[in-house]
Amino acid sequence: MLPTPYYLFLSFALLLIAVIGALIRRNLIIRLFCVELILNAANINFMAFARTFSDVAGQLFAIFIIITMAAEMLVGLAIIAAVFRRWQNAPGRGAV
Amino acid sequence: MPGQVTLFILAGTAMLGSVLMISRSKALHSTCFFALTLLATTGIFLQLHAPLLLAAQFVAIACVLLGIILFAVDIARLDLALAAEYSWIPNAAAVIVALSLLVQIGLTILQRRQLPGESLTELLPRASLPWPLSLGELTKFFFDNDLLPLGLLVCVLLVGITGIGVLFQKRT
Repeated sequence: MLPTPYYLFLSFALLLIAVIGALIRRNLIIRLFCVELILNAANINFMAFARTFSDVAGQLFAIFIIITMAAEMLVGLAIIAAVFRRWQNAPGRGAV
Repeated sequence: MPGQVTLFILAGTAMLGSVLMISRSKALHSTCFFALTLLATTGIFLQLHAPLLLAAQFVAIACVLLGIILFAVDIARLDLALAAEYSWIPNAAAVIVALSLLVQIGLTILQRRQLPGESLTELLPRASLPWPLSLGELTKFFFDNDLLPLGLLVCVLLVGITGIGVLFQKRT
């Protein structure tokens, strides 16, 4: 097995990129993607430690996170759709 | 070492895809690079002997949900920014968060160097489960112990799908 710090540094890099993207970008869909990327970085951590300790609990947590990611993406898209409809009717504001 | 080369290729693809994702101006291009990042991550999951996670991530995220996002972004023109005016506060917050995370990881590495007898893999005892688990064993363990949270999460997913359907019905 490859050393665990490789996966940890990859997870840290993805977390850093996602946090920076969520802070500096204004597009709501890209912000939603950045949140998903943060959860994905957590998944890599879970999987690396599950492999290191030969414990299946990490895989279970990762599967829960994936299902939560799916639900969060759907709910986030619904919220964006609601905001989009409201902003379309407001004067001086619109889609970019 | 082929495993190391594979990890470097997949990790580089994931990091490049995520950087391109946050740097594109159009959300449709960001969606494509997000898909690339997720697919590279599924490769890493496969390298970590997690076929169930690979299937879950590939099917649930990369195919179904990205189809919905592409539909929403490209067909329904659901590409929305928060505000048009420039503000320096989010950029300053991003720099502060990045620096604090870098300082934290640096302190962790320094602390690890000061304690040479303790490595990360010796913190917890190894479990008695055989490794790598087959897909059948993992599914049996999953449904034996965690059926209730799985049911709750599936209910949340169904509510989200229903909400999307209702919203698009009202819009059209």
